Amino acid sequence: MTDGIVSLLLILVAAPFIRGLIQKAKAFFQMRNGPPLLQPYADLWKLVHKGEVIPEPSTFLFTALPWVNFAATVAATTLVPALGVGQVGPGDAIVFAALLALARFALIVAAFDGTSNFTHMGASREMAIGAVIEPALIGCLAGLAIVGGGSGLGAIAESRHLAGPAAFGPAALMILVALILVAQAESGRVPFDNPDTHLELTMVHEGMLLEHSGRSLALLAYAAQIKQAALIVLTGTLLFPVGWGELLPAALAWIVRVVAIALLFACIETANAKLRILRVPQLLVTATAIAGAGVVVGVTLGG
Amino acid sequence: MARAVGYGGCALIGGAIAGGSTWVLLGDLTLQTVRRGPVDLLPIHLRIDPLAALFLLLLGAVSTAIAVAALGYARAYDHHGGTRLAALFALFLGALHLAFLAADAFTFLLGWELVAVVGYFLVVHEHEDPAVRRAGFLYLAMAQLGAALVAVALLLPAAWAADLRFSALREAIGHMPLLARDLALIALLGAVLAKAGGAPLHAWLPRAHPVAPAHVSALLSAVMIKLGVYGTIRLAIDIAAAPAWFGWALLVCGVASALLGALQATVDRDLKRVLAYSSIENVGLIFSGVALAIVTWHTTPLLPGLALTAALLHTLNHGLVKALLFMGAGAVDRAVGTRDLNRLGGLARSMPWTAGLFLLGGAAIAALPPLNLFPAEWLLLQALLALGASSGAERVAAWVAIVAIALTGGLALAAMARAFGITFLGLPRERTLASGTEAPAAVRISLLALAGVAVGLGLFPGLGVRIVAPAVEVLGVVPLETPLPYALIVGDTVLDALYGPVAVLSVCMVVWLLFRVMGRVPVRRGPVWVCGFALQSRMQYSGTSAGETARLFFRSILRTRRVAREIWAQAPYFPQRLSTHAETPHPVEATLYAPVVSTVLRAASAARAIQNGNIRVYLLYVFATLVLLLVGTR
Repeated sequence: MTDGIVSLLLILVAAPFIRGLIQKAKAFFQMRNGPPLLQPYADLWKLVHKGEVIPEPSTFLFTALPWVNFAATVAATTLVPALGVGQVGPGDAIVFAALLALARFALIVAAFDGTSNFTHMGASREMAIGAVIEPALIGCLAGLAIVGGGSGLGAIAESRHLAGPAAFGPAALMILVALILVAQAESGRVPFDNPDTHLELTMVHEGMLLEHSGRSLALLAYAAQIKQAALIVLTGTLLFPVGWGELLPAALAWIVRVVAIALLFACIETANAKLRILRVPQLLVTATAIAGAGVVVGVTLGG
Repeated sequence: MARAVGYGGCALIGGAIAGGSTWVLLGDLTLQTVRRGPVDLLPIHLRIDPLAALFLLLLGAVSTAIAVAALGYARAYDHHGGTRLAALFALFLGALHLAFLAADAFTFLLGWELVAVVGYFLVVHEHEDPAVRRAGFLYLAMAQLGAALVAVALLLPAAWAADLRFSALREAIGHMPLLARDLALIALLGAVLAKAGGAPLHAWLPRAHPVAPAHVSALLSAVMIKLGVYGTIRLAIDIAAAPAWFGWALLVCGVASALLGALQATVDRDLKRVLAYSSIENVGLIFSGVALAIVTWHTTPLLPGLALTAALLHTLNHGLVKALLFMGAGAVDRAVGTRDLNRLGGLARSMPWTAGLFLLGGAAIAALPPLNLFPAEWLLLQALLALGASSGAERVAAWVAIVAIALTGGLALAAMARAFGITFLGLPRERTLASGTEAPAAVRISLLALAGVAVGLGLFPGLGVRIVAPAVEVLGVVPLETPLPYALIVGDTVLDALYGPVAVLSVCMVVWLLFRVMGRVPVRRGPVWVCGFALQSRMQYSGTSAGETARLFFRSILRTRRVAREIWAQAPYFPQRLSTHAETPHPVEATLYAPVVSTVLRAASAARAIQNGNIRVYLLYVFATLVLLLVGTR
């Protein structure tokens, strides 16, 4: 439980920074200066002080559902194991995926309430992509549970920590590669979606937010950052279950893992273009298939 | 008058049945009785054990809620066969009771067949419409196929039994030839799939449910298709102790139903048909749970109990929520006169109660936490994970099933977000659409009660598990233990259970307080941004376009055909009118049903050759039959 609280606070505080870090690294690769590292905090601060415009045909759901989205994202974040300090909570993998689904449901319905063709387009795309992300995410987490033992996120991380070098068998590695792809898709990064664009042909997540403004938009944007941070932390923890147990080495390992994965995301984004929307499910199905191959390898060879 | 008496009576009796079955369930009782049947040789054995009591509890609770709603909803039928509708509704409830209470093959068949036939008359209530008659005919054909198959499944073992009682059949299963037993099980599989709307025998469901009056479709979806689930558990597990291959076959059918149902629900444009497809999906999930129990019945000690708990919990909770959704859809249909998602829109303003409760039901049916279907789906996935932790090739099968069920969950979310968003939000897609009025008070009360139960059973999933536990135990497996009613999913201790909610609430409180400290900001209403133009309702996505991305993703399964017609004036350069029409043939029907139907028709026309209308030839047939019979019986 201590693990959960510390991990939650870390993610809540660091979430905008992680987004800033990825932006900065991308700018570096593109030979630009890019926005300052702390720009996302300033953006949230600005949004909170702005007035809010609600579309004329909207209902009260338009401002209520951003809270549901935010709360569900935070609830999912409470399940992410990070440090291995104190007792590792149950952190159920399916509840984690279901809470992210609840956040997505709230966002899609709020987008339908936006009553514009852009928000509806975002909703239509998010529905379809989300339907393919969910099996990929659960497939990766369940695959790790089947191959490595433990059913909760904390238990999976702990058993990988205890396994030592055996945690990097071919089966687990295949599933983890798939998990990195899924984490990118779920947090709306290139090649699945581009968080830095408002071009209507390509946007998914930003399209849904187009009618929201002021504090509602601040909540939704912050929730998206938290979700990305939680997925990066989760992927990192499962990928390198080291520095487990004491607070200081654990916190150090946490920072190294988060920075490493953020830089990895920035590299992938720099080297790849965003996929055509109809190619998105193919990549996700490929990720699921890699995870499935990992499960088959793990079941037949063990490990 | 007929409406008040009929539905009021149904509501009271339903409440009494629900109370009585809860008493049986919690007391873990088994009561039985024998009545003289219509034929002296066939006495009617009735028996209620916790398993039957659980289904009667579902029937009682749901029929009470539906009957209360029908007090207001069925007003429109007052001068349109309302008395007949109310009487058939009551008769249908009676038939369902008979089927759940039956303790011998004859009574069970009687109940099963009565449900099918009375159901037919309920479905075709608005028989002036030829589309309704066609849907009803398909329903009747499939129901009769199911009834024939269940007769085979029951009467085949009866050949080795002393009489028709279930206890006698149970003994007969032990010493009948394996081939005969397997034949009976195959027939049973077909029968329950046809009754419950499981793939590939589900074609009737998305046609029959939308055309029936809403309170009838609610009852069909919430309870009648569960008779197929009850039949599987009673006949395959309780009586036949079915072998693992039956479980694997059922698992494949269950997962296929779940996927197909969820996929079709995401793209269909009729609000009630979306709900019907969602029923196919949920029945598929229930069958997956039952199948998992059968697969692991003879190998692992705890898994069958877990899987059966998941299936029965799903059955109960799906019934409650689906009744809510169908009554909500009925209220929409009544208010504006259409269920077409390409015409609806913006009804949340004129029907706020219906909208709010429909949203809650939609979130519940998409198995989102903290609502009541999530614990059931969670248990099913946990059972599959436990199978994945066993040994052997089952582990891969478990992983595949987990992924398929997760895909189903994602699609169900899409289907429900789309159905709600299109129906209740935005502007009406058709400008001439009536603005609609809120549903009658009786409907609102009923929906509110169902939604209350859905939230309650979602927040306290342990309560549901405790209701279901005796029904699992009576089958001879270990039910799931829950130390605390609210601590099923989040952990075993109060601290574990409270940590998550408290953490989330405190984070939200902190953000809210921050907003307060920073002072109020101006909030105003403004026009929607549509690139500087004025907003028109046609600018929004319609039901079809909202599901278009998903349809394109799955275009290898949903093979939509577009037909464009051009009507020419004189020259071939200026078409006078263009019309385009798209239809998605049902994925299974085209490949599986069409050959069967054409074979039957060809056989029928071949058989017509002996009917040449000549009376002398007919006399010859009679004579030949007589001779054959005399020779045969000698």
